[in-house]
Amino acid sequence: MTLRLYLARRVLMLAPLLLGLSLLTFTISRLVPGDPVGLAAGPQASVEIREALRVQFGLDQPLPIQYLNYIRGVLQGDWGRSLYTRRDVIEALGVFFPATLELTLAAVILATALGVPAGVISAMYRNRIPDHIARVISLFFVSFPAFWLAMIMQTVLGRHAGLVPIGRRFPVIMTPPPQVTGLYLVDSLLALDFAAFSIALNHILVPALVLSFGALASITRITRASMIEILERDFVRSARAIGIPERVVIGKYVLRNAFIATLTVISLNFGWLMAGAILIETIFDWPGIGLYAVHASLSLDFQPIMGITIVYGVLFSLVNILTDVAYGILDPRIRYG
Amino acid sequence: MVETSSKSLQQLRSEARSARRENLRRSLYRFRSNTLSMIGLAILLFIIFIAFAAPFVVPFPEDAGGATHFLDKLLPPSSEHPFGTDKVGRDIFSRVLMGTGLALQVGVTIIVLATTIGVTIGAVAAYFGGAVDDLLMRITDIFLTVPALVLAIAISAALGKGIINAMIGISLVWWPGFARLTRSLVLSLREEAFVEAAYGIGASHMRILFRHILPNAVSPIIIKMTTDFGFAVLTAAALGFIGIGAQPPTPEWGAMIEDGRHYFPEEWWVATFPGMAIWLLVFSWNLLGDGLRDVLDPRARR
Amino acid sequence: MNTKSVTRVSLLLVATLLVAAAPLAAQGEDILLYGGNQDIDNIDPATGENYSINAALRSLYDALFINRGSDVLPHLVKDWNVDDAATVWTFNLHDNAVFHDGSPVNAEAVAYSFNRILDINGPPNFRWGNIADENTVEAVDEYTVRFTLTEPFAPFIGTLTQLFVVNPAIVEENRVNSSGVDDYGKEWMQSNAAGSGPFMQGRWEIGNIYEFIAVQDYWAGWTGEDNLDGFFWIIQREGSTQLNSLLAGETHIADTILASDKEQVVEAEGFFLDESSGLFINTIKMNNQGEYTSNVHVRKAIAHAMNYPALPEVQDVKVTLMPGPTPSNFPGFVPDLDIAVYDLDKAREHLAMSPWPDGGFELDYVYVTDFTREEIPGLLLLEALRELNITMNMVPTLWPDMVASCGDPATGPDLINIYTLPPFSDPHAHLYNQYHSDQWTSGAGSFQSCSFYQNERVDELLDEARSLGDQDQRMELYAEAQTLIADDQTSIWMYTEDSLTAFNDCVKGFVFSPFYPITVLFQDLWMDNCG
Repeated sequence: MTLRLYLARRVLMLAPLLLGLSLLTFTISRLVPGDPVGLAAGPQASVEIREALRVQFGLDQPLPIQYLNYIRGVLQGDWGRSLYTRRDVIEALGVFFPATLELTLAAVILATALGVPAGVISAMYRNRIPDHIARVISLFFVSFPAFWLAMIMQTVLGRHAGLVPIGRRFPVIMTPPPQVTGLYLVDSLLALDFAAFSIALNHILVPALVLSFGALASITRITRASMIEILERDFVRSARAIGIPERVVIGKYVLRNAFIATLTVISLNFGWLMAGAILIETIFDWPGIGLYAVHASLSLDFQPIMGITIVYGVLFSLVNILTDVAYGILDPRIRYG
Repeated sequence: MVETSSKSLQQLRSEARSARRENLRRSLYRFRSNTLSMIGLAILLFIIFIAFAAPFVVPFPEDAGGATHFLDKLLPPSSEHPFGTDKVGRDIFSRVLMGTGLALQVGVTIIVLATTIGVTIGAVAAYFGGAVDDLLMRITDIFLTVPALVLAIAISAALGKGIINAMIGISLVWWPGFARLTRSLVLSLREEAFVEAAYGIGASHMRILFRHILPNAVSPIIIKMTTDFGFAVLTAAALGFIGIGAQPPTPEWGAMIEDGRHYFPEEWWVATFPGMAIWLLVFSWNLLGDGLRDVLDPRARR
Repeated sequence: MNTKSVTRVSLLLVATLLVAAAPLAAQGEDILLYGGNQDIDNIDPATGENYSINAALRSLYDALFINRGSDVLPHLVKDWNVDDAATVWTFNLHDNAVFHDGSPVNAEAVAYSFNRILDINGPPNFRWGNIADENTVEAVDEYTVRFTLTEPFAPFIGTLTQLFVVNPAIVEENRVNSSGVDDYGKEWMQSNAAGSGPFMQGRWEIGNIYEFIAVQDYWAGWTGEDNLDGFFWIIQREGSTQLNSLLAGETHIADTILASDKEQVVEAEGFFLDESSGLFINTIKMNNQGEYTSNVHVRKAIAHAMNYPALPEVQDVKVTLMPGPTPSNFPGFVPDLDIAVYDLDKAREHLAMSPWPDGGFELDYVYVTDFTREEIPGLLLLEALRELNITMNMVPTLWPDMVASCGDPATGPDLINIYTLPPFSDPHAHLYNQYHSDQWTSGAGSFQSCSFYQNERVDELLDEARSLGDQDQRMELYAEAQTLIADDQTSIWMYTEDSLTAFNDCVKGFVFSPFYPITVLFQDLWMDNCG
């Protein structure tokens, strides 16, 4: 099967998945006992005001009709409106999504940048002191409740040491770099504004670091395991035997091959980290989807919850597809089927 | 379809069983020689001991119930209150220790529930294959796609308050991993000779699945249960932190951190000690799980 | 990636850690940075209703009257008169008020704004919905507007601080009429202003920050020695973040400071704290139609079991205990009411007079999840009720669920902890929606009527007092009603809460107003040498 056919099939399979996903969240959200209309209408609202809102949001219709209306809307780009803030869901998602994406990407990159070297060192010094140290350190960090660690790092590094800002993506009174991707780090580079880049980096560093800890252990472990497996393969032995420098052997032959297994774990972690971002965003006032999700959940605001779930679903599936494609690039022997 | 010419089903099964026993013996040896895992196990046994002993050893067991001593509120750590006191003057040391049992129960319940659901679905899907497999795996995919925390929040909110519902909520998002794993294990075991032999003598589906296939899939499932335990505890704590979970005055660690967040950093002890308790419990499981993986899945660590 | 590049990456990471945060402000302009606990999710005067929205509306729009301190002062209005029956109100407007686009704020605009609120019938319309209809407002001439209410309503002036005047031309321009549904400009007005207020919208990043830019020659002039060039409303949902940012100089004001953090502000150099007594009233409502709490002796027993003296000690805000249904700093306050004190013996006496002399029943105590200030009184009550052999369950609940449960006595909780804020300075605003039975008998009770109180005499008194013009007479009726309400022990009256707002010393011009118990009147502030 060619890559193009394979991609087409995978994308097509997204449709039933997302339909099921939306049905699941729809069911759950309608099982919730509260009365979101009462909340949206405000404390002093009369019966008429509440009924008017109920009709306006289509909540007076039978459930199956509500669901069909919702799906029709989603397909036409109308993801509904938050009952509570009355904001358009898709607009809000558009605003919040880049912040979460940037935070998650930064965390994945950090986790890879810390985890892969740790795994490489572990493999090269297998069952010796550096191996044990790397292992204990990664297990040490992954065991922290992220929200707790975030709170402590924010206070220690931000308030007491004054090394990093206390929260947010960018200083309030400064204008963020012109929006191209919505990722401040990328946008500032595109605008060749290195001052803005360093400011954005400064803001993202601690939240991303805390978030990355959740993925550190598995990345370290899988890198180590696959490195060891490959180090023992014949082609590595022969490469060493014919006198190719160790640096080249590791860098060119071993790491490249070992990275395929690591890639799976990294992509799996991407989903985990995006979910983990919910708590980190709460602590650092990071204006992303997580913060939006918590508030929507706590006010039982149907439409945003469903929108968020669909966005996560699409993203998670896309990452999986991309991972499969990346396999093929890293290892041409892999066929799509 | 089946070649039972040289060996009977009995022979095949007993061979499989003795091979398992031999593996187990070697594994135990490897496990005992793994220092880090032994440390993890030691910490964990200590924590379990605390869970049982807490009501008898803590200075203020009533503080985990409904007692308040508002005149002693927010006292820093001292010899009387090693971890300080909280907003209504309860002894945090007593509450953290009294909360140990709950944390363990929560972890065990989530993992056992998730394993039961996941293994059943995964095994049934792989064993019967075809349309059943397709349907079950699509459902699994749907659950895998949603971020666990978001779904758990929604489910717990829909089910109503309380720690039991929070646990059910988390289990309902936790099983897909077990389903995937079990499915792949069963798929490969289905082709094994002793399973084919069982078919041959007309054993029932249930019997084949539960007597012949699943026992041979136990190791990887146990590894996953152990390594997942820590994450389940963390997720439960996160729900407690968000405010969905145990009802006050239950000494649930995540909720205690949420409490302490309001007083952080000046009254740092309120949030700090429950956080360290969570860390210790999760760390011990992770050390243990890491070691178990080495032992039960020798390919993973050489 | 080889080991050398790994080292290089790590070095880069360390280096970036050391890049100090860029210094803020210092642009020569007086831009105030406000750390607000809540989002401003809607700036349409016809649909938005909460403290942060109100702070924005006050800044972007002008209303007929304005609250300054505890006063209600005319703002767009120059002078006014009212007939004896408190039904026909005539207002003369200032003739120099202009919208941001230069068009005049005239009687037509006032009438348009009022009718738009009535038509849309959103949350803010609770003030006028039952005293006005489409014939109420009339533009008599360019700068005279008359309201003919459908029934007498003495406290009308108090509601007019919330009648924000919109620019009719701009609203009409953005009115959408799709498939027969007229949105009356709601969609556009939610995030765009069409006002005449002291500030205009600047950067508007939803869920994050909102910029307000001062109108250079604001028609009403500025009250302070100087004025702001603008301000940013920065959403900071965590109390610790708010405090940290303030103390680090990243913001100038932080609202909703906890009492436990008070010391940090007081001890820090260069900051001050406002803890003026507010009108946030905390009440534990008992279900007067409930299985056990319908019995007045059970209610009295519970009220006597609340450890009132402990509340100021244990709450993380400064609280003033309530002297009865109305706080002493609010009109209609009745001194010397006979109210419950913390006395377990008295509680036992009352329980003995109930059908359950030995207790032995269970009650649910419902409060907002994670809201410490509502949890703590519950813990105190739980401990005391145990002495009376009454089991109390703490039931943390999401706010929407709480609101929903108050719809009907059958689903109403036994005990529920509620905060209320009277929307304007009149006993009607405080008593009617809590104690008049027509607030819940229709089957659509609000959280304020969650005690499901029903007393015909009280209903009569509240109805009569609402429609009288004579203030003294009204106050007598309200006093009688409150005596009955107190005798029936409909609720446990807890305390009013002081709101704590922390300021950088360089912020000048702040005057506390009980009507904005959270946040400030930005147009009266100025800055003096802020970094």
